[in-house]
Parts: sequence; C-alpha cells; structure tokens
Amino acid sequence: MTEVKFSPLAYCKVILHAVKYPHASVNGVLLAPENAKRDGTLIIEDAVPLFHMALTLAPMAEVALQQIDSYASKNKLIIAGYYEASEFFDESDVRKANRMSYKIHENFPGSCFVTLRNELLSLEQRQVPLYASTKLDDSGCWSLPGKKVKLEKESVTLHAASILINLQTYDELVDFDNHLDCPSKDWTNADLELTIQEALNNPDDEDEEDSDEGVELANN
Amino acid sequence: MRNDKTGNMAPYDVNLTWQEVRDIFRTWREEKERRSREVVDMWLLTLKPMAHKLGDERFLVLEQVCLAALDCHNLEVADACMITIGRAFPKSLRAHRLLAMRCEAVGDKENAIFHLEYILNEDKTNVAARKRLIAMHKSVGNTTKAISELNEYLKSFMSDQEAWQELCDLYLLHHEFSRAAFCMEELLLSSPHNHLYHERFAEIKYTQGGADNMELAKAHFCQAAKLNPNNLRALFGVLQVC
Repeated sequence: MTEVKFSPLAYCKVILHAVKYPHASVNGVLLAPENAKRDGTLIIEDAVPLFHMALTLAPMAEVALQQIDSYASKNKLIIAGYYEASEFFDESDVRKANRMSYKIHENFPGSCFVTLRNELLSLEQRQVPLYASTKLDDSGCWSLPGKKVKLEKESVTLHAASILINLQTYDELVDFDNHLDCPSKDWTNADLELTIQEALNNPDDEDEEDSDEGVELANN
Repeated sequence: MRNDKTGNMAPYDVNLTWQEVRDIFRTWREEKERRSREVVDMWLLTLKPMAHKLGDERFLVLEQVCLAALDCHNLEVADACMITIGRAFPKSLRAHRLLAMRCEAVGDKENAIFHLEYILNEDKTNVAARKRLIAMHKSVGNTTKAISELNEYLKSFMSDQEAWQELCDLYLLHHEFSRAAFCMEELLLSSPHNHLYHERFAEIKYTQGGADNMELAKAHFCQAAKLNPNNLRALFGVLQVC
C-alpha cells in the first residue's frame, strides 16, 4: 500500500470540517499535484469539504465534482482522494463506502480513501486521527482500516490545528452544502487558507498577542 | 450582529439585547435548529441574568438551554436548568426525560434506559421517550436496530414527520434508496408544498437512476424550483437531469 502524506493546509481543513459538525457525518475530496504518481507517496496538497447532510446522494455530488475538476485543473491539481468522518463514535454496523470514492478511484487508480477516527480526535491535537487506504480488496471494496496518514511538519501542524479549533475558526470554513445554501460563500476557502497559513507560520504569536493586550489593559 | 444568510452567528456577540436573544431562541425552537454552542454562549452571556423577565417562556427557554448544554457536555449549566425545572414540575415526565438524556450524555446507558422505561410505564404513549430509546440505538452505531424500532413506532404514529425524516436519513446511510424514497413520499403526502421535501425526493430518485426515476426526479426538481426559485439545489438538479 502506498503512503499518504497530507500538507498542513489539507489536514487543517479536514479537521476543521469534522469539528464544525460534530453531530453529523462529513465528507470531502482531496487534491494532489497533477503529476502525482500511482506508487510511492501520495501527497495531498489541499482538501475541499463537501457535505454534512445526506452524503450518499448523487446529484449535488456530481455538481461539486464537476466544479472541483475545473478548479483543480486550473491550479494544476487532480482529485486524488476522498475523506469521510463518521457521525458515530462507536460504529457497530459495517456500511458500504461512499460511491464517490470508487468513482474517484476509477479516474485516478492511485487515489486514497481517508477516514477519521473519532476516538483519536481531540481539542488539543496530539496525534493524527486520519487513516488512509489506497487499495481495493478482491471484492472491489476499500481494504480498511488502512495506514495512519503522514503529516508534513507534524508538530507545528498539530499545534496550529489545536489553536484554530480553540479560536473556533471552523465557523469560517465553507463546505459545498454551505455554498449551495448561500452561493456567495466560497467553497475554495481562499480566506480560510490565509488564516491557516498565519497559524502555521506564527504558532506562538497567539500567546504574544494576548500578553501584549494584557500589558496594555494593565497600563490603561 | 454578524448574521449571514445561513444564520451563522458570531459567538460572544455582546451587542445583542436580552430581548433579541429571547426572540432568536424562540425562532430556533420553532425551526428546531440545533445550535447548541451558540445557545449556551448566548444564555450565559446575555439571557441568564434577565431570566426572571421571560414570563411564560421561562421554562421553554430553560429546557432549550438544558438540551443545548447536554449537547456541549456543559453539565454545570444542564444541571442548573434541570434543578430549576424539576422544582417547578416535580412529577413531570417531560422533565424526567431530561434526566434520561443527562445519563446518556455521560455515557450511562443503563440508567438512561431505566429512566426512559419508567416514563413509558407511566405513559405508554409518551412519544418523546420512545424516540429517545430509538436515538440511543443510533448513538451506539446500531443503525439496523434503530431502523426496525423506528418502523414499529411509525406503525402507531404514522403522522410523525420528524420520525419519517429520521427513518429516511437512516435508510440513506445504508444506501437503501427505494425505502428512503418511500419515507419521502410519506412526507410529501403530509406537506406537498414543502420545496425541501420535493428536492430531497428528487435527489433520491436521481441517485437510484434509470429512466423512470430520472423522469420523476426531473418533475420533483421542477416542482421544488417552482415552489422556491431560490432553491439552488433544485436548480442544479434540473440542470443535471436534463
């Protein structure tokens, strides 16, 4: 099985999407550079959060994939994976994987199916809760549970993700469902990307800013 | 007040008056919106100090805040609300349900079931307790049992729209599209002017595929778009199906 490595941006988006809707299942697609190979390490550059309601329905998924395809080719990316975070903490019923993941696999056989383990997700991120499968078994289903996903700049990214969750930045995340409810919202999350980059580049500034404010208040 | 079209509220919005918060809570109660974090924040920040001015709505608001607090695992707030409600309505089964939900919230399933069964013994037709028992099956991921219990429930209470919606969602989880479509048909019978039901039914038919289903999908997407021309999903649906 090939390894899957997430960029900090993709990781933060997936985690924020899951945390934004704790009571619902969420899903989305993963984007990789267009020269991504089928073997070796699959690097996921970006993630597009899709739905938090009725994940198994086709029409809006097709609309989303068409738009994402066009966005991806403009940015020299391809749709290289699918992620899903279940609403259930303990899942005793085995369910079929979403058809979208198989569709993506048809177009790009090196694609991955990423699941989020709820028991490893916490407000203070200490470990990566994402597991990826890149192969289908003999019956044509994803061979789960898959391997733990690697993360670029792991400790910085985990720290940044914790800060973003604590600041409730997930309110700013726009998934495709939000876009369909209000078309002016940008499902590419360009603004959120800047916020995430800031958290990644200046992980300690959050504390410095707070202490500066404290000093100002004390002086006034 | 940062309030965009989908109603996302800024947390800790200090500029709202207590009357505005009260009205927002009322809207969310009527529309059955699940905005637990915002309810708890707004209660603690603005409404709680003025709770004595709420009049008739006081206990409705307390119940709403209690449920929101349980959702956020804020047991302090939940317990405070439950004590106030319990003192005012000591023998109330509706208040007892909150106790069962508190047990659920801390993962104490045995006691939760005990309390719910007590309520059902006292009142066999208590809908809330029955639905809570079904929800507990779902909460442990046993969706098959939840589906069979919900089907039993709907044999007696077939006009319960919330239950049909929940059953539809459960069938969709299992990719049982024809059964999910049947649930939506029941909902359409009771509310033929609801554009959201038409649109969801159309999406299920589209997902099932096949010429007949596509025709039905087209008809219902068009009906949804006619009932609400701003329903973007319906408009996209018409585009996809034609």
